[in-house]
Amino acid sequence: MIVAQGLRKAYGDNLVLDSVELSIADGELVYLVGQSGEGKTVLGRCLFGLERADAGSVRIDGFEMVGATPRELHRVRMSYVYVFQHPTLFDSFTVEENIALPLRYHRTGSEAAVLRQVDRWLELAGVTPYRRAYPSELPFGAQKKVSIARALSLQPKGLILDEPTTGLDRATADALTDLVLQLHAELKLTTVLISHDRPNILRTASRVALITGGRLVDARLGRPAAEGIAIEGDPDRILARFLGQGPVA
Amino acid sequence: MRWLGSLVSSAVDILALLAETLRSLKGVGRHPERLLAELSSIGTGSLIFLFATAAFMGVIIVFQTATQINKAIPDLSMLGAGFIRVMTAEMIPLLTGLMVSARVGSAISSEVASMVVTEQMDALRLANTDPTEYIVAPKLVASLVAVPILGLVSLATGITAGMLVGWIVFEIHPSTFLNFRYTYGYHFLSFCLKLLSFAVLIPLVSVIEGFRTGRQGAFSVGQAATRGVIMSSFFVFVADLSVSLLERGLWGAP
Amino acid sequence: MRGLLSHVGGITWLFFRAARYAVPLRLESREFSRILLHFGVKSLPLVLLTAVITGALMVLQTGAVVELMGATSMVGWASGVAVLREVGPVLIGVMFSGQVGSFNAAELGLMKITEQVEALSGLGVDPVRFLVFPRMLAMMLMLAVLTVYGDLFALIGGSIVSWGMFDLDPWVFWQQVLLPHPVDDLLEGVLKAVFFGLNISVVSCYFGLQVERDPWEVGVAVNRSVVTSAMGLFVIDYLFALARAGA
Repeated sequence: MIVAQGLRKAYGDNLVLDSVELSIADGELVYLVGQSGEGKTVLGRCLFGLERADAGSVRIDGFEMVGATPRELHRVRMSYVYVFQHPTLFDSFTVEENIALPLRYHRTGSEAAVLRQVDRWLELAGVTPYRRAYPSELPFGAQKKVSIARALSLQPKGLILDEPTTGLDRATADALTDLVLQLHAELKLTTVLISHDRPNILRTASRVALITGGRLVDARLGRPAAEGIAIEGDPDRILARFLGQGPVA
Repeated sequence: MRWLGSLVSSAVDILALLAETLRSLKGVGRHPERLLAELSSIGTGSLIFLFATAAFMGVIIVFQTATQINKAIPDLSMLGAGFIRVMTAEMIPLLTGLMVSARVGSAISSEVASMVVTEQMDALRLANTDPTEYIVAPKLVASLVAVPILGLVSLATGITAGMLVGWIVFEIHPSTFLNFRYTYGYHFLSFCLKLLSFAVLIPLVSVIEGFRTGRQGAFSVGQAATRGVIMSSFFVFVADLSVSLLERGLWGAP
Repeated sequence: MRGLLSHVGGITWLFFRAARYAVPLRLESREFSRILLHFGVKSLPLVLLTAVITGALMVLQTGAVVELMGATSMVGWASGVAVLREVGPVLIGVMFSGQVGSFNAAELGLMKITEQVEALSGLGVDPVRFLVFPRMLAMMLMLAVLTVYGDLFALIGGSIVSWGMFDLDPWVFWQQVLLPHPVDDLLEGVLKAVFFGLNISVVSCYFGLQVERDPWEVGVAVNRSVVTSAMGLFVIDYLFALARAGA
């Protein structure tokens, strides 16, 4: 359970987050959206300990993130893994070694057990054919999948994906989004997607949090209808306009 | 034996790159900031290092030689003459070459390799900027300017350091020490020729090793850095030996 | 000057941070083996060739002085050899430091640029434990081995040249070298090399990890590590000489 209250973050004169409140229940899937530079990444980073908010509170499973020591933050981040926009795979190691790395480091079991785990994550992410290749040899979409697989090897409770589909062509972006949804369902992960991929948001989102002007619009999307998607919780129709949707009941 | 083949192919690559760089030389003026950056990196960056190493050499050589000679015939009057000759023709050029290899060779190859791995090289080409003109040529020019100067500075430092040791520890008067009797014109020629060849070889060899980066990302960059040092040093040796042998061949021994 | 002091401080801090993993020993054996393998097997032939050539060249040059002196061959060779014993290990140490250190600084530097180091943290992996500590041990071991072998091969090169060009019996050459304290010298050589290894590994890891965004910085990091570690080498050498003189 992730609860943020009164979050405030400013960069110089620019107030990016102004008393933002957000609650995410276990196993929920939420999209964090907004225009570039509006603060969705900042919010994501503040929620998960990559950046420190100026004021406010973020409690993850009851633990207060704001003001925690690096070591404590670290421990939380192993349960809620942040997958960066750039795959940042370890390019000196093969795909297999990349996924095995955290397993081996944390001594999760015998070498045989580690390899079995690696098999599983490769399979789930759909990148088994690439197992012995080096990251530089992989197409970008595959690299993204491997970075997700590597994050999953820690068997986290939650996954935060920063712009997972940016830089991908339409088909690969859709496939990756479907993969994330599938993983969310199968592994019961709390999932936060930071994105501005409108087609996929429209297609797959149920809950969307939009950041704009420092404020959060927390809305639910209904299923598509002839006149456009029903959006609950968006009185000023900010989200509707962001998603390019027509008028709604 | 495979490494022999790669050495030969390196030699060929060096000539090819040299030709290409010479052609790009006129374009260097388009990017003066690069030239200045390289001059500062290659030149001033190496100064302290060479100061220390040259002084170290000078001190050790004089100290050890004088100690040994004293044991046999306590006549140190000719020490200075021999010392200066050896420093000029042999020691200082080699030392400068090796130190610059270690420093600049590795830096250049790792920088180029990093650019290749992060696809910046491709980005340059796409932006219509010729990597040879933008990257390689400034390094070569800076090297040609800096290395001879570094050599001269090292020579001065080494000789001074040796002289001081000779004076303080062995009471050899500086005036007798600074004896150029055994140092002939062709020794200076050797000196200059060696330094110039190092100045050309080191940047070119390092750039080539940088471009030969493999596909293993960070590891390949590290490998390129190591190879940059090893190959530059190797060619420094080859050049040094060649010039020394040439000198002996043309003008005979001492 | 202040910059230098802050670097020295940083390097010391990194050393202590890494040394924590020595007791109790937490070594990432895969990383350790990987580094050893890369340097031990792949670079060795060329590295030893370099050593032989260095030795040969050094003798060539000191030999020239000696010819000039017209001193008796014993004295001349004594001085040549004495120089070799002093300068040789340091020169070889600097060269090997250059090779080994630049590998570190470059690899870690690139990992920083591509945010791989941050990714490690994100997976709960301590970069100092995973990257720095194995390198420290591997390089201490490696430099000890390399320096000992390197000195040996340099002397071989030297003896060949003194035989070929100056007609000095190799046996005489070796006698002058191995006497008066062969075992002491060997031990001192190994110990010195271990310190060289420690020096170069920590310094190069430090500068590599200081890199931020640009490939150009990788070159700078490599530069700084070679220079700083060479300075360290001189200091270590000087300290050993002092100790030797005192003992």
